[in-house]
Amino acid sequence: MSDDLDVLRWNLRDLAEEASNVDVYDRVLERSHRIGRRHRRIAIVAVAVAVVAVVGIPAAMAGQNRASGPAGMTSPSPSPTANPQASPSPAVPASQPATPSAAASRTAAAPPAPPSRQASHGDGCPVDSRTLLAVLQSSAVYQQIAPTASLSDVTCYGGYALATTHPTGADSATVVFQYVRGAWTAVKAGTSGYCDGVVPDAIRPHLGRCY
Amino acid sequence: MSDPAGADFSVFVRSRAPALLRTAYLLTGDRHLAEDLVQEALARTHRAARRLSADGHFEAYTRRAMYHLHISRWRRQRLPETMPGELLDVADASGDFADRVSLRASLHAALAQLTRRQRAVLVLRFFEDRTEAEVAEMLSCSLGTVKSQTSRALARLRQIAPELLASNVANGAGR
Repeated sequence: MSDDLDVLRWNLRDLAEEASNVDVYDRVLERSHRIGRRHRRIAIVAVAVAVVAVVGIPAAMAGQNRASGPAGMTSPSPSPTANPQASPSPAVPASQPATPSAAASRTAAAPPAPPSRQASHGDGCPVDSRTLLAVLQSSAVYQQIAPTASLSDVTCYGGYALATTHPTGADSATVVFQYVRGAWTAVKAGTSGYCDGVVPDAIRPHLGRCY
Repeated sequence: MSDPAGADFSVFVRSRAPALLRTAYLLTGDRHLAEDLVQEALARTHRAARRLSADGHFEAYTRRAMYHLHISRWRRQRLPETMPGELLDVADASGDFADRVSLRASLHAALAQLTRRQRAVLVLRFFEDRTEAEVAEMLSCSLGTVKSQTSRALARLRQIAPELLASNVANGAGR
């Protein structure tokens, strides 16, 4: 059985005549302008979202890196200034030098640590003046020189040490000390030639005053 | 209107709006919905008026927008279908005014029971007399989809309102 589609066509045309015949031009223009305003609002929102995505997200990530500390530094930062840990800071503690040259200058300016606190290398060096004074005052060498209450200008190298006495009313003398079996002993004292026959030639240059 | 595109658009709307409204009425089955559909399609055409400079492009753009709006936007809004009461009895073939009104009402109710795509295919094929290829291009679908949708729509109409598809054998009219 074949359909008579013309009946359908006629009835469609007949039915379509029921449509209203109105002038829609003004309403079309009004709706067109409304669509335009909506598109502009959407564009503004899209731009705002894009700005937030471009500016806000990196800033938030930088804030997270700052909060998490060095562990957060493993993630790459889009801005070279976003990570404060990477830039030199004036608040670096003096005990943590930022550069080797700064560390050297600070070491030179700082007062030397007491010799007794310094590590010994097995030859008794370094040694402090009070230790040597006690050794001197209890030795036979002390009987040959003018009494002194202090020693200064201590030099030490290879198991030998020199120190200068400060006697009252007499010239200063230099005392030679030797480190033997874990203890210092006063070996010789004088104003000149005190290293002769006592300090080996290889050690003399290191002690400074073995003329 | 100062710009030429705007002037052309004004002429187009005033001359073609009635025809667009007739098509929209067949698509929607409601005068107000038809006006709304035509206004929306024309408004979109107005937004693109400067790009549609050549003659004839306004109408093609508007009709295409109208069909796509009908299938997509109206579906998203989930507007209730208009079903004006129960289906009328089958009209006899006497051809008087009462029968004509009866057939028209029967078609109106039958169209409301089709899917929007089926309705669009029927309107394009049998009201605007477009070819299947033109319908496929207008609805942005394949030729096979147009054929299957047309077949299903006619089958549905044959089931709901067989008087709208009177056969040659039954009528005795060789068309």
